[in-house]
Order: sequence, then structure tokens, then C-alpha cells
Amino acid sequence: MNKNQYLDKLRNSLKKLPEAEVSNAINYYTEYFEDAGIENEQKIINELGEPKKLATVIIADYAIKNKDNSSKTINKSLSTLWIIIIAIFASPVALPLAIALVSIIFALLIVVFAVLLSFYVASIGICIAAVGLLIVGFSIFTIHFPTSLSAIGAGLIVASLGILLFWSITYIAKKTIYLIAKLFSKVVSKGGK
Amino acid sequence: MIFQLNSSLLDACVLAVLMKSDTYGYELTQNLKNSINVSESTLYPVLRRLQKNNFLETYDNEFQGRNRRYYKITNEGKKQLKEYNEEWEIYKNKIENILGGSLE
Repeated sequence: MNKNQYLDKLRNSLKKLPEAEVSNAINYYTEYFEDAGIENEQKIINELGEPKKLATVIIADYAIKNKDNSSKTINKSLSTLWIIIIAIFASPVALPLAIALVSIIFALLIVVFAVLLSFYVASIGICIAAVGLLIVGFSIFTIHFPTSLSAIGAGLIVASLGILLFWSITYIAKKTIYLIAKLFSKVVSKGGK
Repeated sequence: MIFQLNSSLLDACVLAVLMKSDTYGYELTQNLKNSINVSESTLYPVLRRLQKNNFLETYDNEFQGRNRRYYKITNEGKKQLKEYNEEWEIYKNKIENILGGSLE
């Protein structure tokens, strides 16, 4: 058997593989023979062994490579299929559940904002009361001095309480809005993943 | 040599040779044959596998009026070789521990 006969036999034994794989292998061994030189031809043929045996090694390696790839893609498409099936079966339960969950979150948000708003209104009311007390205090300044003084004093106390409440509510409202925004972005980013 | 090389070690050896310089199939086989017992038929599947994994790439050069395909290690191949070297160091130490009798 010479080099060409050997390569022909090898090509025949590799028939199962895609054309690109066959020509790659044949090119490699053609080059190999040429690099070894004619004087080493027989030696190489002996060392390479039967063309069929050599082909088996090449095919086996090709099969291992492709088995890894194909099983991965099958698994992936299978898991996607399962997700779709589960989603379809769960949708009668999941949809109302999702609506309920969204409603609860919405209701909670409204409650939080209502409480904040009521405190705001209260603080504004207190400030208005303070202004009223001050006006009354100043208007009776010449009529009845002690009453006027106590009214002004009460007005100042109420005003300070109102301003204090206003500032603390503003602070709490800012914190609450920030927290809610943070929570929402977390939920949205998780849902996105 | 009585010890058998497994496919990962063969991959590591081929990458290590290619790290020094680009080479072609015959030269690579002869180089490795001088130090480890690979047969003429072992290296083609190894080279093909490494190429498919993008650890090496090929280019063709003309030599005496015919084509010669050279193999060149890629950046990914260099990374892989580094990993192999680290793994080998760990493995080698473990075996030496056992063979040296220092295993409790």
C-alpha cells in the first residue's frame, strides 16, 4: 500500500463525516506524508496503522465533540418548553394572583400617601391657627395687654410646632418616596432578569 | 514511557509547544514524539479539537510548491495553557506527595 492508496482508504472510511471534516483530515495526512518525505512513506503507513482504525479515532473524536453540543441545545429547548407549559397551566391562577398583588401594592401606596398628606394638611392647619392667634394677639394689643401677650405667645408656640411638623413630614415623605422608588427598581430589575 | 497521557495533558503539551512558535503537523508530531510516546495518529484529533475550541488557529504557507498548514496559539489558547499549567502544578504535587511517601 502506498501513500495514495492509504489516503483513498482513509477517505472511504470517513464517509460518514461532513465533507469539511473529511477534507480537513485528508489534507492533514496528505501534508503529513509530504513533510515526512517519500523515504519515510512506509514507516508512516505502518505507524499510522490501518486506515479504518485511524478513521475510527477521528470519527470518535468528532462524535464526542458534537454530542456535547447537541445535548446542550436539546436540554435548553426542553427547559424553555417546560417554562412555557408551566406558564400556560399556571396562568388561570397566576393572572388573578398578579392582579391582586398589584392592587394590594397600589392600595398600600395610596394609604402611605394619604397619611403623609393628612399630616401635611394638619401642619398647614396648625400654621394657619398660629397666624390667626398672632393676628388676634396684635389686634387686641391696645385693648387688653395681658390677653394680647398670651395670644401672641400661644401663636408663636403653635407656629413653631406647625413648622416643626411640616419639616419632619417633608423629611419623612422624601425618605418614603426614595424607599418606594428603590423597592420598585429592585422588583423591576429582578422581573427583567 | 509506561504512563499514559490523557487528552487534557495532550492538549496542554500541544499548546505549550505552540507557545514557543507556530508549527505544522509533522514537525509538531516529531517534536512531541521525541519526549513523550504519542503515535503518529494521536495528534490530528487533538489539533482539530483545539481548533474547534478556538485555542489555536491555522494559516497556510507555501513550501516547495505545495501547501503547509501552520498552527498558531490564540489568546484564548494562552489563557487555557496558563490554566493547564496551574492545574498540573497541583496535580504533580499531589502525586509526588503520594510517591514520596509523605502521605499520611
